[in-house]
Amino acid sequence: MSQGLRSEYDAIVVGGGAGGGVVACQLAEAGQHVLLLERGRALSYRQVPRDHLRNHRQSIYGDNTTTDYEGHPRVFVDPAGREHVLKPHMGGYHLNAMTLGGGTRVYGGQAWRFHPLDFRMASTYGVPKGSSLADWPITYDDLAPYYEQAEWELGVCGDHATSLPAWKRNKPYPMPPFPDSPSSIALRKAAKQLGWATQPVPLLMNTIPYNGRAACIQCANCVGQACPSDGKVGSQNTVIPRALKTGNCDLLLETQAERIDTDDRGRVIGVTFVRYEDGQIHRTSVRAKRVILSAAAVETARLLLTSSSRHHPHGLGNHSDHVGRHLQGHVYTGAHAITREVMYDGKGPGVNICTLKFNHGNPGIIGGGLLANEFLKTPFKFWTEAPGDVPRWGIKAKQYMRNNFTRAEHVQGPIQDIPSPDARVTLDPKVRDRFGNPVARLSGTTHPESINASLYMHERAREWLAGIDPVKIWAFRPQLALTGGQHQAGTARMSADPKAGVTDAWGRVHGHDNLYVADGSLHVTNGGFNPVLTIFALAYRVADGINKAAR
Amino acid sequence: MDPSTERILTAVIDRIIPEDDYPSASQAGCIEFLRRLLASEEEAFNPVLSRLLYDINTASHNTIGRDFVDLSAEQQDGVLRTLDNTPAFHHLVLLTNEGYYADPGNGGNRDARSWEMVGYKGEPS
Repeated sequence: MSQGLRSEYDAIVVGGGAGGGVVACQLAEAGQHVLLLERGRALSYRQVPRDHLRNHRQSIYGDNTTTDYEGHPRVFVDPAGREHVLKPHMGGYHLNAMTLGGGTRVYGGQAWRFHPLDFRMASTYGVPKGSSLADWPITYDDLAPYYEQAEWELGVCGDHATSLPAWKRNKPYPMPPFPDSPSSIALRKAAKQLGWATQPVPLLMNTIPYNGRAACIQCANCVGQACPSDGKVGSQNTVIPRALKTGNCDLLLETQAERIDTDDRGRVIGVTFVRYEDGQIHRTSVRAKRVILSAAAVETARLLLTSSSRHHPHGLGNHSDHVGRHLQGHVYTGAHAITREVMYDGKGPGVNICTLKFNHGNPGIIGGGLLANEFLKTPFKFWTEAPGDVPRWGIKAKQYMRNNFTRAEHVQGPIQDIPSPDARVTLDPKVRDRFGNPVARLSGTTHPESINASLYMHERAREWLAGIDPVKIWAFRPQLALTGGQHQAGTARMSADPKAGVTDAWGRVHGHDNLYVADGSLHVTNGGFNPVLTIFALAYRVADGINKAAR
Repeated sequence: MDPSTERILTAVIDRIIPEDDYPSASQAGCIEFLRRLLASEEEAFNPVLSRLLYDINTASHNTIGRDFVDLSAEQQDGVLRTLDNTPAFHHLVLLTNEGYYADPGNGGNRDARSWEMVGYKGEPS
C-alpha cells in the first residue's frame, strides 16, 4: 500500500470534498507534490443507487453513498440530554456524504455568494446573550475575487442582470440560468405584486456544455442523488481530475486520516492514516511540509481534537477552546401550498426562483435568509409533507396523492443560524470507531434567536404563496435543535485574535505556520444561503495563500 | 410470514391503500416490500405488528363477531378506525406508503404504477 508514496509531500490534504478538491488542484497545478486522502470510495453513477428511501435527501434506511454503516458511529446528545449512538444515515449523525466529492457528489448545488453583511453580523446586529455571533476577519470584498474564480473554474449558471447589487459582480455568470417553469412564472407574478425583487437561483450545474461535460438533462430527481448526465458540478468531476492530471497529486481512497503528527517541539510534520483491508487495519505515517484539513466541520474538528500532544494538550489549534464549538448549519423554514393549476412539469432541478429581500434588514430580527422554490419532489417525499388535516390511509388518502402531487408548491430557505458556543463537537469518552479512535460527540442547539428569525421567514413564505392564490397553505413549526448536517460549518472559525478562534484570515491554524483548514469549519457565521460556494471560494483563497508562501 | 398473518396483513394494507383504477397496496407488491423490511431494517417492528394484527382481529370479533378477513371493506374500515390513532397503526401506514410510492426496486411499486397515478416523471433511463 505504501508503494508509490513519496517519503515526504509538499502538502497532505485531508478530505476529497469541496474544499479539499480545490486545494489539491491549486497546489498540484502550482507544482507542489500533494497527497489527497479520502475516506470514501470513488463512486460511478451506476454505483449510486436512485433509491427513494436511501439517498441523501431522504435517508430512511440508509443513503446511497455510505458503504460502511458499522464502522463509523457518532454520538448525538439530544436537547433532552439523552445520548444516541448513531449510524451515518440517521438523523442526528450530521453526515454530509462519505465518498469522493463529499457532499458535492450528491448535493443540489445551489451556488450562492454570502451577502456582504454576512461577514459583519456582530457589528450589524450586536451579539445576543449566550450566542457566539461574531464578525469574520475578512470582508466580502476580500473573498469576491475567489467567488468569481470558483464560479468560472467550476461552472455556475445564473442571471447576472438580476443578481444582488450588493455583490458588485465584475463578470457575469459563465452559464445562463435554467429556464422558467410554471412554478417560477407564478411566483414571479406574485412577488411583483408584493413589490419583491426575485431572480433565478444560481446553481453549480451545466446549463450548456462546460468544462468538457454535457449540460444537465433536467431529470426529475436531483438533490440527494448522483447526476445521470454529469451535468452537476462536484469536486470529483472538476478539480480532482485536474489535480490528478498534473502527475503531482497522489489520491488514496478508503483511507482515513487518524492523527496529525507533531514533533517534540509541537510542530506539525505529517499525518498518520488508516485503511481497513482484508479484516486488518493498516496504519501509515507520511511526512509533509504542510497539512490542510478539509474533512468538513465535524471530522476536521474531531481530527484537531484527536491530535493532542504534550504541546497541545487539548488538541491542535485549541489553546482558546474554540475547536469544535459554534457548530452551525441552517434552520430551514418555509411553507407549502396546493395550487389550483398544475405546477409540475417534470423538468428538474426545479429550484429556479428566489427572493433575497429578507436576508437582512428585517425589523427586530437578526439576519434572515433567502426564500426559493424547491427541487422537484419524489412522490414519497411529497407524502411525508402532507398537512395534518389530510387522511393518511384509505381511499381519500390515495386520492390526495393522485390529485395534488402535480399541484404542490413549496417555498423555503436556509435561515442564518445564530451560533451558540454550546453547539459543538467533542470526542466521545467511550465510543470508538473501527480503528479504535474516539468518535465525534455532537451536542447543543442553535441559539434561540435562529427560531425567531425562522418564524419571521415562515410568515414571508406564507405571504409569497398567498400571492399565487392557492387552495391551501400550511407549514411545519421549526424546533430548537442542533443544526449542521449537510451545511455544517463553524467548528474551526477564523479570527484575527488567536483567543477568539482557530485559524487566521488565511485559514492557517493559530500558533502554526504549516497547518490549515479549508472547509466549512472556517465559517464564523454561515449566511442565509447554502454554504458550498463560500467553501469553494475560501479553499481557493487558502490555496492562494499557501502557493504564495511556498514560492 | 405464516399464511394467516399474510392474509390479515394483506387485508389491512389494502384498506390503507385500497384498489381503485390503480392497484391496492398488495397488488403493487407491498407485502413483498414489508416482508423484506421485517427481515432486515424493520426487524424490531415484528412483535409490534403481530400485536396490532391480533388487536385488529380481536376488535373485529368484538364488534362484528367475525374474522377481519371475512368483513366487507366498509366493516374493515370501521374496525380500523377504532385503532388508527395508535403508534403501531401509524407505523404500518408509513411503511405501506413507503413501499407504494418508492422506486420499483424496493419491491412495493410494481411497474411504477403509483408514479403514473400521481404524475411523477420518473427517472432517466
